[in-house]
Amino acid sequence: MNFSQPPETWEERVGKLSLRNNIYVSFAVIVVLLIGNGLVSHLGLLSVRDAMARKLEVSRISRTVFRMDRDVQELQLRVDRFVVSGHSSLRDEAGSINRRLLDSIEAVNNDGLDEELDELFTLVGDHIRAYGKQFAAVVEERRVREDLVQVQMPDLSATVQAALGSLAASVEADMSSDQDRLAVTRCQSLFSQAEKSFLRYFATPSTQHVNSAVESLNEARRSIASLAGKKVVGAMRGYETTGLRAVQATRSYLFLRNVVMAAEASEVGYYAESLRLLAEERRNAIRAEALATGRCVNQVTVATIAIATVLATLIAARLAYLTIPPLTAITEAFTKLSGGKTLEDIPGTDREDEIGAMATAARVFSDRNQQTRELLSQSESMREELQVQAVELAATNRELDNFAYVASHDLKSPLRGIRQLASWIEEDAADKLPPASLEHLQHMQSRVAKMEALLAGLLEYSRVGRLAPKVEQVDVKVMVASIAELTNNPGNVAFHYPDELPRCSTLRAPLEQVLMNLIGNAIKYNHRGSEGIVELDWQTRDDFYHVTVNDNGPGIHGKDHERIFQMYQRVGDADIEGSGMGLALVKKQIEQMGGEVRIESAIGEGARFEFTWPVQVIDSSNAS
Amino acid sequence: MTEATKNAIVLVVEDDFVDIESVRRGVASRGLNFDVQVREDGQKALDFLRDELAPEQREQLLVFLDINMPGMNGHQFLDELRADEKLRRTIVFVLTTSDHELDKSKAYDRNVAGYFVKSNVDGLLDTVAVYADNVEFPPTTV
Repeated sequence: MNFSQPPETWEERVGKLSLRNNIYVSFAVIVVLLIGNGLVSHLGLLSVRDAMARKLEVSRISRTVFRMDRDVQELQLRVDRFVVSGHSSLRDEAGSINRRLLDSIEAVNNDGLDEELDELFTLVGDHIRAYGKQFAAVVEERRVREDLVQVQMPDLSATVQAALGSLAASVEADMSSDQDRLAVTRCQSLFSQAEKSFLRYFATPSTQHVNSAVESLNEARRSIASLAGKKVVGAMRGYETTGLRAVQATRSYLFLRNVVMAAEASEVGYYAESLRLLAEERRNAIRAEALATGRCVNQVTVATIAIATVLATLIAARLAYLTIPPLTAITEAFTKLSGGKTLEDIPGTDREDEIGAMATAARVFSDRNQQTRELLSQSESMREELQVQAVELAATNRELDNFAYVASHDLKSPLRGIRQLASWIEEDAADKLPPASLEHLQHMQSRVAKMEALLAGLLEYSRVGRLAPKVEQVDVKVMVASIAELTNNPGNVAFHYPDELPRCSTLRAPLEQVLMNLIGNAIKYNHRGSEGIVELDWQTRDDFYHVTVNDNGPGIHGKDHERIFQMYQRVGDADIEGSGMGLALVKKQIEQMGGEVRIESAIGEGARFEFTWPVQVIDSSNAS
Repeated sequence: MTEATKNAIVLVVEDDFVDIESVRRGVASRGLNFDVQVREDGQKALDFLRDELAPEQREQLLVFLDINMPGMNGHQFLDELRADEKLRRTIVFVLTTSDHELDKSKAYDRNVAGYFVKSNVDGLLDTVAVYADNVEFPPTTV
């Protein structure tokens, strides 16, 4: 840990984020931006939807108010017509309109408006209700008036007419003065006028008609004051009273209609107007709000999209910049490296992220390449060295070959000479020599013979493995049989071998040498004479023949088991002829073939020689 | 052995005493009627054949030739011999230690009558004993 370094700044830290983390973070940010955008859009849509909903509601209220207005007007119309005509259908219609209005107000109220509207609607409702009530009163009055006008007054009028008639008759009978008759007639006509006035009034309610009617009636009464017309007067009075009652009723319902109901209607109209205005106001407000909201949402959405796009682009660009150039560079580096080149400078090793790791790996790779190169060139030079050495070795071997051959060959010649001369001396001067000299001569000859044998053995030994004999078909049985025949067996030692011996493709001379030496030794050294037994056993296992030569001879001490395989080593009976090279030769031949030889033996327990010989022999004669 | 046979001359071209002695004793033990002459190298042998040998002696001439000799060796001797007009047809038996193919080839290329190895000197002498009695010797040129 390097304490002298200043603490990392935030930027350095971010820069050091591994690529993977960078990518994660970038993706996270982009996803957040997307989600944010989505949210913003969603919220915007929600608020637009809200605005739309409010607008719709206000529209509905406006429509309701408009309908209400229309209905109120219709109501008033019907009421007016009813007041004029008294048709029950109009009355019913008015009633149903009233109910409709009240229903729609209730419906609106149930929807839960804001307080202001609610209040207004309630007020309107109240007034419409009041209007309705007044109308009911009007209806009642109208009915009363109707009754009075249509029923009672005509009755009473009839009564009056009857009374006048009778009066007229009585006057006629009395032969009263013309004045009286005129008075009655006048009275009658005045009564008719009054009736007409009443009718005029009932047709067109105007006080002057009432006054003229009353005046007419008063005059009528006065006109017959002098006469005995109590009945007439009474009837006229009754008629007048009824008529005035009817007038009163009319005035009453007219009042109701013109004042009270009008007042209510005007209240309703006022509140309805207020409602309409309020609704209008609200609608405008909402519309403006909706527009504003729409604009705002639009702006915000556009802004957020723009920001998100810009940010995302920046992030993506930054990410691309962070990853692509170094990736390209590292890819190039690796491509070169995989081509076996070594690179001096690998881009990006100072980075602390994945690219840095790759660059470091590439550096290692490069170093390995370098190492491989060096190793290859080393191995190449070693190969060359080896080749040189092999050539030298071959030369040395050849020299040794020549040496052994020449040595044994050239040594043989004088030896032969010595032997021959010794034998000639013996031939020519045997009788002239003292016995000691003869003995000396003989010793000389035997030693020379020994040396010749040694040399022959050496020559043979040196030849093993040098000459490359060809692979031949060897009938082992035939070979063993001929060895048995040729081997000197003065003691008549028994030699057993299996009936089943293979034919194999192998090197004849080496195998023959080995078998000859082992079997020959076993027979030669056996001290039991005709009791002596030598056995050959032949097995095939894995890729090798396992051959055993068993005997019941004197055996070999454990301490000599290694020695006997060495050159010029002899153990056992020294009288028995031998060069000491036989087993060395056997070992060399066997090992040359890739086999092994070993001995199991102890003094007095015979000996058992085992060796392995390959089944498959590769013909190397063509190679040399 | 017919008495009418003239003594054949056997020229032994050999430098080794024991080998020479082998031949001599072998001839003696077989009772062969040869005149054994010994020269120890090729040049001396040629000189003998050219200068010391009488023409009529050439009529029954056998040469036992060793190959490995100091000075002029057997092959060189043969080359010279076969190049010499008078001596071309001389009967030569090679008697040498070498059993090398090359030596044999060279010798037979020069028309030797036979190639023998020294270990078989008896074989040679037995052969020559019969041979000398039966063969028609090559005509000599003067």
